[in-house]
Amino acid sequence: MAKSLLIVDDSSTMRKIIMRTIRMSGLDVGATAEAGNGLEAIEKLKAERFDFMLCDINMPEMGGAELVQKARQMPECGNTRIIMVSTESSEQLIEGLLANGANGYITKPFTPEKFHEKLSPLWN
Amino acid sequence: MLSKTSIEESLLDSVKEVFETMIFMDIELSDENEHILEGPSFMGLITFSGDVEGCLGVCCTNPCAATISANMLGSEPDNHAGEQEMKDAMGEVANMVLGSFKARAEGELGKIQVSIPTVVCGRELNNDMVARTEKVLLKINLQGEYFAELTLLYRQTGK
Ligand SMILES: [Mg+2]
Repeated sequence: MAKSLLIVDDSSTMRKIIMRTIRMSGLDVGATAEAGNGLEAIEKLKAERFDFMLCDINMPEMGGAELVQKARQMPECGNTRIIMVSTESSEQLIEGLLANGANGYITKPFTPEKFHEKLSPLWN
Repeated sequence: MLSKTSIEESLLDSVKEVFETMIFMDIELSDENEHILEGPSFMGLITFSGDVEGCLGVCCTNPCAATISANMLGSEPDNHAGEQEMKDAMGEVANMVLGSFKARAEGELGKIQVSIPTVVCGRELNNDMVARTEKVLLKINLQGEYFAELTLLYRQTGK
């Protein structure tokens, strides 16, 4: 079944690349929405349900680490899978995010194959 | 602390990875010695702090930034990119190159926190910092068509 996505990144270029890369990876994508930081993402999450949130870490206003914590306290996000997409790759940071409720991690730069590998087990 | 040569190598590997996987451009080191960027240019800048602090700048001319932006967005090359799109693309290039460099070098350099990128436009842009700073400069050739300069300024903080 097609999945709805919220893509959160402060770069509009990166949001488009993520969207294109997921489509290229062969995963069935339904409705999509974008947010430029954590605060905008929370507004979108309140208004709509998403199957997946793809989330950058370094962003102005509210970064990805804080967004994961806040989103996990929202009943609206109970079934939303949160995948971090970031240039940050330290193990300590990744472990902390996973412990706080993120479901997966993809490092930039990435390929459609990498998205498929990380997302397809969570897609169905 | 990494030697300057291995920092140069890690930086070059990082630029290659980013340009090949996300921008679909082949890059090579250029042997030009002169100032290679003529005319209006963009520079994506990102700072970092921690055990080592400094700044990475990625600079290229406007036509090159337009091609980078178009390649990243998967739009037609002749579809003229707006200034805002080029700025956004150059900021993200700097962000990804530094992220990739950090993953390669953090073992030796120690912990680094990366800032949010900024982008400036103008002519003869220069990335420089105060005293006691090491500087690595890479001049690269993109697709045999464009030049770009990467400058990495860094110094140990003694933290
Ligand atoms: Mg970012």
